[in-house]
Amino acid sequence: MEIELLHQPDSAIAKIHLAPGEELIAQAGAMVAMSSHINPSTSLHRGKGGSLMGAVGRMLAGQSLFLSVFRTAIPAEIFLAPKLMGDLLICDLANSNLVVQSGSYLASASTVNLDLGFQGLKSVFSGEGLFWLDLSGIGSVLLTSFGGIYTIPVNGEYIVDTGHIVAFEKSLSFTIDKAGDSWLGSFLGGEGFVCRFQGQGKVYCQTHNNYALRRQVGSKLSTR
Amino acid sequence: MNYEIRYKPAFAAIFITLEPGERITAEAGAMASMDAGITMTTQFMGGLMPALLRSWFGGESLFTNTFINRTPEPKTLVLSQAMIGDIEVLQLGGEENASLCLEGGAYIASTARIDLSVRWAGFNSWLAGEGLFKLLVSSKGRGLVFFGGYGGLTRRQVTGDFIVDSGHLVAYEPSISLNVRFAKGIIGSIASGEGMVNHLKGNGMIYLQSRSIDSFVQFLRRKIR
Amino acid sequence: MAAHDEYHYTIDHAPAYASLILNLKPNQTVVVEASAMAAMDSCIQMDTKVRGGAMQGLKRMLGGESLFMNEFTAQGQGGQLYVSPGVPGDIQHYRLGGSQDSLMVQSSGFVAASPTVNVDSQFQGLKGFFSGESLFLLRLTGAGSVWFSSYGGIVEIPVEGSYVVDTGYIVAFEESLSYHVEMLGGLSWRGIRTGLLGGDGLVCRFQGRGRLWIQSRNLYNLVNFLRPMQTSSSS
Repeated sequence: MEIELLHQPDSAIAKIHLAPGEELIAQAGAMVAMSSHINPSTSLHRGKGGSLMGAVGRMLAGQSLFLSVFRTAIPAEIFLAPKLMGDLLICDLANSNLVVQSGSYLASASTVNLDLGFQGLKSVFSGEGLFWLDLSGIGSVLLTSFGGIYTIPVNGEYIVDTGHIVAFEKSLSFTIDKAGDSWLGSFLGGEGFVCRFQGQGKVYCQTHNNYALRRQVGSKLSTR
Repeated sequence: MNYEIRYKPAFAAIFITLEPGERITAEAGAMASMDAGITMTTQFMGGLMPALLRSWFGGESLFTNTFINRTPEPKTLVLSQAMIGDIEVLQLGGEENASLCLEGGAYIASTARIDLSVRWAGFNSWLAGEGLFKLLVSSKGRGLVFFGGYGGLTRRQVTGDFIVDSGHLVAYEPSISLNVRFAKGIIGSIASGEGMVNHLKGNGMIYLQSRSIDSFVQFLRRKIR
Repeated sequence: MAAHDEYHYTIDHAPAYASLILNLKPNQTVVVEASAMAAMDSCIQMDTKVRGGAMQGLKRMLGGESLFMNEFTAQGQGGQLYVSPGVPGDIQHYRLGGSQDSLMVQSSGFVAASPTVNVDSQFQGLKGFFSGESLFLLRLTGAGSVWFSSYGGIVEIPVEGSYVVDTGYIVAFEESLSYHVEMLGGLSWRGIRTGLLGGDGLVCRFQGRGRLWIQSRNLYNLVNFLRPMQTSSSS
C-alpha cells in the first residue's frame, strides 16, 4: 500500500495505490474517486455489545462507525478525502496504541485493530457527539484534522485546548483542567477546558477547532 | 521572541517561543496548545468601556489573554483564530507603519508595546460592511501585531484610489479614507451582484482578504433548503 | 505570470482560497460570474449583461446561478482585477481551442472566460447528477480561456479506459469522455442512500479518453456539519 498526500494542509486528499489482495478500511463516505475494478462493501462497526438497532441508535448518538472495505484483484488506485477542510497525516503503528478522536479517523490498513471502547475523555465531549477510538496492531493509519496537523513530542507536561486534540499515544496520562488561574477567567477568556498531558509520548494537534467555527458560522446562517 | 506562521493561507497558525520573562497578548480563545510552564491571565481588552464598544460594534471579543513565561527556560505556544484563513504580522513603531486600522474580528495577538484603542469609523465604514468602529493599533516603541482574515491575505499599496468590494478589506493605514458607493446605481448593483463597493482614496497600505464571509454564507444558504 | 496569448493572470492562495488576478491590457474585456469581483483598479468599467440571450439567462437561473454576468473592460489603460468565487477552493485555467473542443463544468464552477467562449446550461435530468446539487452542467465551447473553480483542491485525472467518481466531487471533464450515473451499493450501508449512514453511493462512471478534474472536498458535508447550529424558521 502506497499513500500519497496532495493539497496539504488545507484541502488534503490521499491517493492510495492498492496491490492485489490488499484491503483498505475507511470511514464510509470517504471515497472520492477510484479505479473501476475496486470492490467496495460497507458495514457497521459496533461499539461494545448490543443489537443492531442498539448500534444504529448509538451511531446516531455518535457512538458507532460505518466503515467501508475496499478490495482489489489487480493493482488499483483510490482517492479518499475527509468531510471537512483540513490536513492529513500518515501514522505508522508499531508498538504503541493510539487514541484517536472519532472525527479524525479516515482510513487504515486491515492489519490495524479498531476498538470503540475508549472511555477516558468521554464527559467533556459528549455534547459534540465525539467519541474516541483505540487503535492497535501494525500498519498505516490516516488521520485527518481541521486545520494543519502538528506533532508535539511530550516529555513532561503539555497543555492542549480540548477542541484541538486529534490523537495521542496511549502511554500518556491526562487530566481535564482549566486554562488560566481561575475558572471564570478561563471561560470568559474563551479557553474553557484544556487537557493536560503528562509523561512521554506524542500528541497530534490541529491548529483550528471545527466546533468553534460551527458556532460562529452556523449562527450567521440562521439569521433569516 | 521567535515566531513562525505556518499552514498559510487557509489554516494559518502562529507558533511562538517565549523566552523567560517574555509575554504576548492574544484575543480570547486564540490558544490551541502550549507548554505547561506558561501562565495565562485574562483581562478586558484595553479596559471595560473600549472593550464593550469593540464587542458591540467591532465584532471583537470582550477579553484578551496574556501569556507569560515565568520559568527560566524558553516555552512554546500555538495561537490560531476561530475563522479559517490567513494570518499576517506587521511591525509597528519606527519611522513608517506607526499605526494600523483593523476590521472587526481581524485582531489576533500583539506584543507588549502595542496599544489597542477604538475609534469612530464613520457611517461610510458601516455602510461598507466594515463596522461603525475600527480598531486602531499603535505602538509606544517597537511591537508586533498579528491579524487574520478569511481567505488569503494580500498586501497592496494604494496610490490615489482603488476599488474594493465590501467584505474584502481587512486592514488599512489611517491615511486611507473609505467611501462607499453602490456598484452601479441601485438596480445595477442588485443585478450585477456586486452591491456595495468601497472607493478607497489616499496613499498607504491595505490588506485584502480573498474571500468575504457574507458571500460564502449566501452561497450556503442557497444550498440549505 | 502565465500568458496564454490573451490574458496575463496569476492564481494566488490556491488551493484553499484561490483568487484569480487578471492584468487586463488596455481595452481588453473579460466575462466574470456575478458578484465574484473582489477589487479592481478604477479605470476598469463593469457592464452587466444577460449573456447568450434571455433563454440562457433563464436556464442559468433555474440552475441556481445568476441571471447576469459581468463584463469588465480596462478603459484606455491596463488595469488589475481581483476575482474571488463565493465558495473557497481552487481555480483552474483551461484553454478551449474552438471547433471540436468542449468542456463540461459543474454549474457553480464557472468563474471567468474570454468573451469568445460560449456558456450553455445543460439540463441533466431529474436523477440529480450531483445528488441534491444543481441539475445543470455548463457546456463551454468556442475559443479562448476559461477559469473554473471548486470547493477544495483540484486534482486532474487523465482517464484511459474507465474511472469511477462520487458525484459530489466532479468539477469538470472533457466532453470526449462518456459518462453515466449509477448507484454503487457497496459504498453505503445496505445500499441506503443518505449522507448520514455513510456516503450516498451515487457515482459517475466515465469511459473513454480525456481529462477529468475532481475536487478534494464535498460541500454537502460542510452543510451537514453546520446544520445543527441552525435555529431558523425552515425545517
